[in-house]
Amino acid sequence: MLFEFLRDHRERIAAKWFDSAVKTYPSDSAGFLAKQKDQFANPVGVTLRTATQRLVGELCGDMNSSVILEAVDDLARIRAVQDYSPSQALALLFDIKRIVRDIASDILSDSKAVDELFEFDSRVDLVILHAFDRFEAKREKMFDIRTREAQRRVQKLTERVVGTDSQDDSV
Amino acid sequence: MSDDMPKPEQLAQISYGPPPKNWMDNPVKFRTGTFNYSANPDSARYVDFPYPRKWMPMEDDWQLPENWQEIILNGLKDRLNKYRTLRVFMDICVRCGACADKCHFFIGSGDPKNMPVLRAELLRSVYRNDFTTAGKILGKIAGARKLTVGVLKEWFFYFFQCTECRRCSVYCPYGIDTAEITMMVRELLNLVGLNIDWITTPVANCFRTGNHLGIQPHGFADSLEFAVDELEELTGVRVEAPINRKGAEILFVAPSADYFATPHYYTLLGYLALFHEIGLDYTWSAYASEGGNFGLFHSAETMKRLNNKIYAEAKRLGVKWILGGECGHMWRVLHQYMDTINGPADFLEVPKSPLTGTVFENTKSTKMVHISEFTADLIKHDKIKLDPSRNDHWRITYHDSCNPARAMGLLEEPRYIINKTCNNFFEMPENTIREQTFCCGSGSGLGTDENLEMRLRGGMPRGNAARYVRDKHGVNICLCMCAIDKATLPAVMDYWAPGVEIGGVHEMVGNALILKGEKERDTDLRGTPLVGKEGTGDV
Repeated sequence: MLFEFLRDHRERIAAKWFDSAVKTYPSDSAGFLAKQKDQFANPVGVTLRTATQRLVGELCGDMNSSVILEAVDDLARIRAVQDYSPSQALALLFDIKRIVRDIASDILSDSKAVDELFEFDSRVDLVILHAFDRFEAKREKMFDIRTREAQRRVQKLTERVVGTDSQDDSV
Repeated sequence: MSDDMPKPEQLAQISYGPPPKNWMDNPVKFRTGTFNYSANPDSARYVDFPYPRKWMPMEDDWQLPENWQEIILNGLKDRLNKYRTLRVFMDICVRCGACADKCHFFIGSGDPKNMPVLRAELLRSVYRNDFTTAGKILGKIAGARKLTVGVLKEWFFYFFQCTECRRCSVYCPYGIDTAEITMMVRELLNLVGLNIDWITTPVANCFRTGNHLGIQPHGFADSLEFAVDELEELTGVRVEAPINRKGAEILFVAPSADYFATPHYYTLLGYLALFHEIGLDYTWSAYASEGGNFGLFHSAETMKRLNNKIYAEAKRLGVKWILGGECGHMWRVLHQYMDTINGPADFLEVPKSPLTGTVFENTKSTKMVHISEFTADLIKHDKIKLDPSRNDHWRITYHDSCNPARAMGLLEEPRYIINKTCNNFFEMPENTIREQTFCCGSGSGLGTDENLEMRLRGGMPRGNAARYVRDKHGVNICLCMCAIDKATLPAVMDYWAPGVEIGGVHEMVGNALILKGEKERDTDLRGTPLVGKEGTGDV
């Protein structure tokens, strides 16, 4: 019952979620992130919009894991390099719970809908746990990149001094 | 549960959005990973930079000289009188917003102070306060503010974030060059000893030994010899790499990373193979062994000192003209500043290709030709034999490096070369290439590992476009013509578009070039097997 309602209001829910995500940026930037639709001129805004839309589709659909993982990976890749603490970076995902409660408030007096709400919350929790993993993986990736970059910067000098065996470009 | 722990319903109400504050009331935070470390005082002393000292941006006390405000305001006054452009740039902006969303750092971070208009406002507000009547009388209402330590820290943070790529300038209806505003503020910061190490130490090294790592002449010679050996192993052809040879027709200057870093090194192998094949009468110089001019990122005076080395060497060696390699900011300096700071180079001849007879009229004053112009001309006149199928294992896109593209207009030559040496070339989307190209996010001295998080924000628009062609066309390499790109884009690709490598245009030339007397080529210059030769070589 709730899921059917959510599917019917999918676009509205995604739009509200996107709005709340954009508001985590300074107000002077939020307008641009929301309005510019070109994915190359505004990769952050477009990625946030696409990822929230896809996640809403799965949260009230069949929870396709590859779609979910791709969407949270896209989100985590961006948020992990921006000026947020880990909790701030992922807080936007929690907001879907509030948005769904607001939109579905009229039908939440029904016990069946409440049962489905628990199910929905569990789904959101699962998405957030995946996002946490992806976020952490991106931060680790950055450390890996730093190491590889340091190697590359003087790779040929090092090879001459210590030989090629100590240098592994595929690290 | 402790008393200060929020209840679940309170947690749900927490706003993670930033507080709505006026930009002037939002002090800068130095978060690790988003700024560059300060200059090593020994390096600063070596090149006579003022107030060398140990300090760090994240510390509260920057140990500024007592009269720092006076020094900076006098410095600003001097520059307003010296550079008409600066005064025009300070007065003319109408805040139309055309530049606002064009900066790669703004796009990647969402930080409004990276809107070029607002970044310039960081300086303009002080200019208004101390140099305009309206600002003196009306203060904040007229957009003016006093120069405080907080403002100074903000300058340091944001003007060592701008990569001077000039994408915003392309869109400005008044032609305001935000990069020049950045250059002015960096000059002012230098007056009170606020420099970053990845500019100051390379400047000191280039000044002392000729290249940014401070490699001495015998090390430089050794590096080239090593490349000659490796090229022989790969192609079976022994080439020469003459150094400091007086009387050569041409002096060749490349960025120093070409001979000790990867993937730059494969471009060096490409140059060596090409020059050998056409029998070019040329020489390297151990003293001008760095094309990259880190002085551009510091001050006009430092830029002049480093640029002068190239011409001093050209004079000493008695060459006729200069050929320059795949470098970025070397060309900005050459094309836009050299003529007035050290030129005209009257002692040299107008460059003429010894192979085709083409006279490079466009370099009449500087006497320095970009290698992509030179090579495109060779190919156009059918002077070299190429086998593009040797690059068939690469699916290629091209990143217009900011300085050759926007500062020089070299848009067609590299594409012409790529199309003649490769079979699989795919452009990135239109609003991310040519004049509108997105910066690597690490130019102008910001390509340090301590600044990686900020660089990845700045590199996002470029990485995003590369990811698009990777997914659409299976692109696996992005070519570019700048040493900073080659050093820092691998990180950008690793993060935003994994699977896309970085290479140089002349690396592809070297792969495709059929050398007289070469052995059967099984691999490219990286040692990667060619298509159809997998498992046949002793890789």
